[in-house]
Amino acid sequence: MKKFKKTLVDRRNFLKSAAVGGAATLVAGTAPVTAQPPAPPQPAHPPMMPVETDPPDNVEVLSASERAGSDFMVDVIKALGFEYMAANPGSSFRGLHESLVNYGGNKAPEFITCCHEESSVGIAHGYAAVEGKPMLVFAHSTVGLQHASMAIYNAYAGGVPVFLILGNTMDAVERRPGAEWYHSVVDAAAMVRDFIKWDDLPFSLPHFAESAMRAYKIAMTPPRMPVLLVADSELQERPIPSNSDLRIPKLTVEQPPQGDSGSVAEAARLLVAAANPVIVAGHVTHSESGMAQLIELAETLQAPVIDQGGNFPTRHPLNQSIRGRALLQNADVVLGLEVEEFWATFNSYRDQLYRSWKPFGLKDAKRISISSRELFIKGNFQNIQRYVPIDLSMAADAETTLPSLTEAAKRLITDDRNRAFQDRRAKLVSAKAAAIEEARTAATYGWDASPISVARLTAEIWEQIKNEDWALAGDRGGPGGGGNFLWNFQKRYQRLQGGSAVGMGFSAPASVGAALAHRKHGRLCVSFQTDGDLMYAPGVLWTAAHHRIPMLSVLHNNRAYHQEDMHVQRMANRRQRDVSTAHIGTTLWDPYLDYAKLAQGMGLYAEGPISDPKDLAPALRRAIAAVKRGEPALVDVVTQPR
Amino acid sequence: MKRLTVAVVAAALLFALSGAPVRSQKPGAKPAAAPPGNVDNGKQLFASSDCGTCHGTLAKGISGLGPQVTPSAFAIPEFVNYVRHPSGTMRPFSSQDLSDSQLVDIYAYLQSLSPSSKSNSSAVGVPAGNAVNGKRLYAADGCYECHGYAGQGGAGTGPKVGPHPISFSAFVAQLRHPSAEMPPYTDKVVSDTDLADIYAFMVSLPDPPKGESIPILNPLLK
Repeated sequence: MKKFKKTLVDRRNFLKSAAVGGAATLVAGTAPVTAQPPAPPQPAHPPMMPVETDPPDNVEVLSASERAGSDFMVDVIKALGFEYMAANPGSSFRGLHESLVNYGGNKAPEFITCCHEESSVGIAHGYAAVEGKPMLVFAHSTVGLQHASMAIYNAYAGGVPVFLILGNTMDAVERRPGAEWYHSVVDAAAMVRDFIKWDDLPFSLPHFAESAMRAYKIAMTPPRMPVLLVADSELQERPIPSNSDLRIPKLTVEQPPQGDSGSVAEAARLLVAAANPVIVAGHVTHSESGMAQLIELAETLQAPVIDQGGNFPTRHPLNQSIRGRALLQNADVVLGLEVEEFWATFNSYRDQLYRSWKPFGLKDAKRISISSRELFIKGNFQNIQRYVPIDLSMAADAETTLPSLTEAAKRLITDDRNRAFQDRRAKLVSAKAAAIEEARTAATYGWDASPISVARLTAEIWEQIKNEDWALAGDRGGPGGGGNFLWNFQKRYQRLQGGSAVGMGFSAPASVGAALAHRKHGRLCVSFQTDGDLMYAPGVLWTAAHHRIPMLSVLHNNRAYHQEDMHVQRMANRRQRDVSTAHIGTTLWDPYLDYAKLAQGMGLYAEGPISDPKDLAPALRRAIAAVKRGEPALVDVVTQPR
Repeated sequence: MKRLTVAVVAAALLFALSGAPVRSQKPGAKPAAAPPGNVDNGKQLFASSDCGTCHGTLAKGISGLGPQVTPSAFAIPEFVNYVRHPSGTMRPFSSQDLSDSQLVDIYAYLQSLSPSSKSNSSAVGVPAGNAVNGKRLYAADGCYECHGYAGQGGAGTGPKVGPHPISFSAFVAQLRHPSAEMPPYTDKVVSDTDLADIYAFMVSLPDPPKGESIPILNPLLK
């Protein structure tokens, strides 16, 4: 007992020496960077240097004038403007948890209760993809971070900022016996360092404040990615000495890198002179104005846009995504903006017994790339795609570079070129109309089939939402993909921005996060949700119900991990074996999942399974009525495989 | 003489490849008499020249990329001329890319893919099949995985296969020795008898409703 008291006192004495001034000067907003406290005499490794002194009598509670370290952390968090913090509770951040809900009033950020850390990060991913800024996530040391890791990888690969704070107990002698040892780690961030942009382990509260500002800045500087701070549990839980002078540095926002003037001018020259230029747009826009800037460039050149990232209105005549390959086949200049798979833009690939590939398109076509991805590349995880030679490559943020590129092009356009541009536009308009007519005809096949065709489902949803202020969240193979000609996308926010690592279990939490972001705008958020993806962590539906997050989730229920079903069958075909067994291990049969009951059990309005296409429209209308009442709703639709 | 022969057959095929206004093929149009050229070689050239990239593995067209190009309404000379000097977005193929005789082979292959119909499904060379058993096999053997239970095709997985499938001989050739991404179905996997039944099922599929008759699809054209 004596020893225990000494340990407690040691911590208090350490804090008195590690922080200077009074905690009353906590700054909730931002303060000048120069207003740093005088450098305190901090030990090099504070938690590991106990001092033998006697304890005071009342070491178990904070006095009225004292604050906990995690209170200051919450001040820092509030200064960064987070609206929400998603977490599954964990004892390694219990100090922060309590400070957030009591000291911080559970507002800005508000605690979003999650049933799995993969859901926490997935929600933050979806939120950031709509709002264009990070959401906060707390995670519980070893176990929480490992649960969260796949979702972190999705955000990393997708170029989406997420701000994580991880609880951990660094000082071995402070750890509670048993579970806390399993839940502690020497270098926590090492578990995910391959797929985050930056991390730190602050040793003091001033260190935490500075690193939080730095982390936010790094996360928001293109290429945007997740960042992680480890908050030592003792740093959270210890009281701040009464004379501390803690301050919060002002947040510095980095201006995104722009393409250099010489390269921009050369790119403009090539594009203006081109006979058949094509713009391939990856995840370009991180603001609504970015979409307008991309439209202006396309209209300046009257060049077709193949939109891979939801950057361009679908019914704009220059949105030629539906004709992508045909255009690339004949392109003499290709401008890639934040394109992740540039190699596949110029090569066809064949997945047979011996895999093969070959280039297509004009041999002397000029390739231009503007991508911030070139500024941050790591070696282990291979989300970098295959190397492709580029004639003019700018390591820069594409959206930031668009205005200067457009202006440079305008300066070069002569009357002759303008006439050629108008002729090109006329041909593009005509070709798109023909392509849309073909697509409409294609949609009629299987129109009345049961299971319901994806084209029918897509068209039926559109019919119900077309007059609303709507936004699409999760999407696999639906209107944001192959069926995007069916929906009239006009705003950037109508599609989930940024990508992912194409990991299962992403769409459900990302949809909830997107719906959370859309809620304050009053938008009708629709998620095109696949069944296999939902079953990874379906508890996220409860989170949507608990926090009254309105969202229409339409289940594209093909009752299989269909992609894998096809892969297994392909192997059997090659090996001349039984192809009828491909369903083993790849399908969700026997019993069929009742997703409506699953959702109802978590507090959602839900209907289904719906197999007759005639039942779709009434069910969607009823579900949308529930969403308009502020509830999440799910409609389970039994669908064709693709 | 060879060049003259080449100059005589069809071009409607590639007219559509272009992105220029599509001249639709009449479903029941009778193809020209069997043209000269080697069908097997034409099939190989069609695949190796990436024709299927825009027109589909079976030349049935890909929405947004290139139209159906079988059977061709063009004569060989028009066909060759068009391939050499296409309009719209189709890339030109020089004689160094594909010789005239190779184009004739491709033309022969395209003509061999002439669509069948319910009325001609019993034509010579098409064995009588059991459509009911064919429907079962279509599911059991995984055809639906890429082409849908209704044969309607799937986004990024496979083209529409019915109603009005390609000719039976082309169907068998495609399954046994597929081009593009389709996995091979050898006779160890699916027997000739089973293929006949599956084909009969594909022929039996009903025609879809006209696009104009589906109100919620009409706004697409506005």
